[in-house]
Amino acid sequence: MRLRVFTLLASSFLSVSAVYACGEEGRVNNCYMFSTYNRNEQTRYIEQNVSYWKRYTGNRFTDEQVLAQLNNSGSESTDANLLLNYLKGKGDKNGVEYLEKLKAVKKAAKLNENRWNYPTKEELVQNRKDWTEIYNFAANKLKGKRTPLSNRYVLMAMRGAFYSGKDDALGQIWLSNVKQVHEKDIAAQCQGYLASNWIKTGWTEKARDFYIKTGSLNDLRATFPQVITTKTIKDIFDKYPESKSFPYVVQDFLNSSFSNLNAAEKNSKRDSLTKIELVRFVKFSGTAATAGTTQSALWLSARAYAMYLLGADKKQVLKALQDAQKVKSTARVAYNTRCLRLICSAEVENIDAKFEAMLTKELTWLRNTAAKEKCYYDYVYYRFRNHYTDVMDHVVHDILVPRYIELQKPVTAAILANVANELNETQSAYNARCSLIKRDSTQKGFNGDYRTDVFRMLDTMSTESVINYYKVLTALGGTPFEQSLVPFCYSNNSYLCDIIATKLMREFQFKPAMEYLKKVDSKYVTEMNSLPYMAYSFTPEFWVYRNRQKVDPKLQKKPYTNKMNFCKQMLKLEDAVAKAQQKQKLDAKYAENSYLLAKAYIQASPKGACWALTNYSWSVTQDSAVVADNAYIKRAASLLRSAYSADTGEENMVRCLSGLFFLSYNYSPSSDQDKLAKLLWKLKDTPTGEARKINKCDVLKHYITGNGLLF
Amino acid sequence: MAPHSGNAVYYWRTTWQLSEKERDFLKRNSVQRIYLRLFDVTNIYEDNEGVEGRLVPTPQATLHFNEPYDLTCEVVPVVYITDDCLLADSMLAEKVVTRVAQFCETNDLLWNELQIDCDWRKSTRNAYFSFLEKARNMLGVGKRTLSATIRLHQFSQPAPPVDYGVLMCYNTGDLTDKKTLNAILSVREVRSYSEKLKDYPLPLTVAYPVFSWKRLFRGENFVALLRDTDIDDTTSFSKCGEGLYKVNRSFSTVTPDPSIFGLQLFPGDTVRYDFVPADTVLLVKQLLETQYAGLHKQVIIYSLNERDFSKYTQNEIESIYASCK
Repeated sequence: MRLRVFTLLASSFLSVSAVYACGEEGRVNNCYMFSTYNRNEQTRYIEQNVSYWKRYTGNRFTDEQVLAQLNNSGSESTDANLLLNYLKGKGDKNGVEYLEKLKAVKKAAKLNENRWNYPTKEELVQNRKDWTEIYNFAANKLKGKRTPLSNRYVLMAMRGAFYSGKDDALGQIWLSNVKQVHEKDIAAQCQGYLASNWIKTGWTEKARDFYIKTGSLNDLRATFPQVITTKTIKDIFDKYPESKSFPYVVQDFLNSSFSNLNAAEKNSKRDSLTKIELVRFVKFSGTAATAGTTQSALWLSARAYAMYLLGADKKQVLKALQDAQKVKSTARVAYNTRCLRLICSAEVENIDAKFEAMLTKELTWLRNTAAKEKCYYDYVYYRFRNHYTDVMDHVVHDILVPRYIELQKPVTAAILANVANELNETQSAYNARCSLIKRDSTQKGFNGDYRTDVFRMLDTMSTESVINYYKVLTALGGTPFEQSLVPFCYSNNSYLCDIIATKLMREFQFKPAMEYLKKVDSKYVTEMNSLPYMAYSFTPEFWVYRNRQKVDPKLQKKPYTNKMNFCKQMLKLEDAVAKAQQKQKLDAKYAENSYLLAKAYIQASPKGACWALTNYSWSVTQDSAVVADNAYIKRAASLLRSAYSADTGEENMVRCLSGLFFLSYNYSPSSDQDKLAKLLWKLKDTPTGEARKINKCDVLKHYITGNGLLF
Repeated sequence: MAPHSGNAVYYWRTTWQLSEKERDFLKRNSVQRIYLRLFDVTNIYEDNEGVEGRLVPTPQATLHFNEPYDLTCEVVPVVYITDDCLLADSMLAEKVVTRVAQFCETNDLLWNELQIDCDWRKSTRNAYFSFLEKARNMLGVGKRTLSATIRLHQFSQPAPPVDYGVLMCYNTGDLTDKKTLNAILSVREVRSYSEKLKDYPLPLTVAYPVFSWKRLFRGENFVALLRDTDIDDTTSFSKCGEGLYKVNRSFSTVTPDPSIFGLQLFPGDTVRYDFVPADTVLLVKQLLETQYAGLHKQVIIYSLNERDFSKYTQNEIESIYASCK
């Protein structure tokens, strides 16, 4: 239950806000912020069962070995009977007996394992007999002396009763043994066999309790009407003031109200109906909070959030949240109130030292809370997330980053984005980096560090800001607030030095860029997604289509060295060109050097074959407006013009005009585009023109004829 | 072999349990034959312990009997197969026929015919026809009948090697396309194919839709088919065109897929309600009869479900069945 709302962030820091407006598809923000019921509260039967048997056998077996035993994974598996053999050796008769019978349970459950083998009548009869026998055995065990395995026998008996069709026995077993089933997951599994009958017999509230406990959200939702209103909640409250369904039903109501009010398509009638309903809820929840139930904190927290949704004064909302915090509550409700308070404070409080101290404390808590909670896999965003990672995303990306950017504090904004991204990235399915959080996946693949919000910020921020950001992360600078967040940030020297070097290269600052390039570890570069594209040579003429790109065989093993090669070559040529200009020696050599530079700049521009020298994959896919404004393309055009003027030799004129017409036609139309085309067309029959097949250039031909330039 | 005559229905659920009204429907309309979907065969990704897995054709959603089959109507087992399965297993026909036989034996169903439902295309035609040939051999030529559903688009292809075909006059449009006005049955769509009917080299019978569905769209994108959602609830939906409803407020509904935590409907979503009035069915029927005399010796209604047929009057149902009497 979530909604993404794309917002344009008001900011004077245009380059970054533009990036944010486009948004990273992988980022989950503006999710529902009210969470008193964990939608991902699924009992972990398997994990808990494995852990039980590991303890039972003195922690000498691995998870896989325990699972092989519990799943009866076939005799070919060497692990299949390790626990059983161990218990036999130890003389644990009870344990051996249970595991032997469990094998029978697993065998009976495998009736339809090969789905192509539909069971015969005989097999069905035998299967029912097997389950009956299992039921009888387990039921008998329950009549005897209690053992640590008794609760597992309750579950076994209920399973046996269920699959052998003894519906009446189900309730009896449960009622006579409920007290001894101490393990929650076993109890939940036992009740699962009963729950479907509860609704049929009108015990809806009991079934709800069960579904809440087991996280069976679909089943739970089905016990409520299609649209949950204040009246729905009030009706339940009047009947069951302590209903365990309130955390769920209130959450559904409030988050749906949020969704109504934030729908992409505005509808004033819907908004006003939603607000009327919220006003009713504020009134009702105020009453419910003082009714003396154990859920007062929930009602106060919900009331405050309803006020927030109604657009009440944030100070009033904060006060209401503070009141909610004073009342005893479950951890989930307390965390919910704390998150809401953080959101509200982040939106309204002045940014000063006190505020930042509060942020340090609360973001640390939020990050740790998110790390502790089990994540779930989101198929839409391909990452693991939970409610608290969503809150972190919302607070950071939607509230704090825009505020800090507005204050012209891009470094703080980037540090904050780093904290949020790091929390997400270490739980991402596709990030193989060592995790701060125990991850559910260790898949390797695409390096996610080049697709995050923080990466895009760094790639578009001023170089000076990125260097300052680097200083914060390497403890060489930064405010106390920024420094307090560093422990939660991703900091990789090579990653940052490469970004800084790349930015410097874009700005023609090749010397300082080389210093940063030297700091990039050769092992690290193999993790860069764009590495293979660095092996392209920057010397081919990009405007000659038939051989515009060429992989340099010398670079194939070490493509990253091409960055350094490029810097060195550009420094050398730029130096030569500058000296020639100083001496006003604008001759054929000058033209040659300028032409070489122009070729290399185009190749290393976002459109060139070795774009990866000065770009990352995301930026080369930007629209043409970005390209037109690209410094390398502009510089290349200017160099081509200088080269053209400096040498009137036919070879030089043809190649420079080819380059200029190409740039003008494709990226940045110039006022003399017609003139360039005509000049080039005139040279088509010269030896160089023929060698370069100018008269076969379809683009030029089309341009000349299309614009009536033939003469 | 000529198709059957009389009234028939498809039963397309995963559990066999009839309501009183459904039993009454069968009786009142003298239904002689039930085309009973036994299971689907779809490709399932089989993980091979870390090694690259593979897609394996696997039976899914096998019919479960909550009550015994106690009707006198003849049963025709039907198996739905996705066409990608045909390319994945050369032994598929043997597996399907064996499983059908075992299913019928275990559940005391007498069967003299097997029907295969498959949305095959030109690219899968050879594999499908080969599958059918093998199935026919397994059934014993002349012993048990083999039939197949025929979708409209399949008219442009050679006829499959079966004893007869059932012309599926439903699911004629692209349900994922918001612009499709009625994805269940479009007279225009049927008309465009109807001329090919008279030359079709296979005996045919026909199945007509007696059902409705609601298609949920977010923007232009199809999200899901809604089953139990009540679009007459004016607090949640408002009508904004013929068969088109706008979602007014956010709410979640129940989904048959337990891995999705309830389907969330958002304000601004649209729902297209497809319902085929009896008049439309009758129009199509008339159109087809002119092209293929005797097509309606047997009429099959899709499908036996109280929720669906209760939207039609008894007269309407009778007129859909009518000409075969």
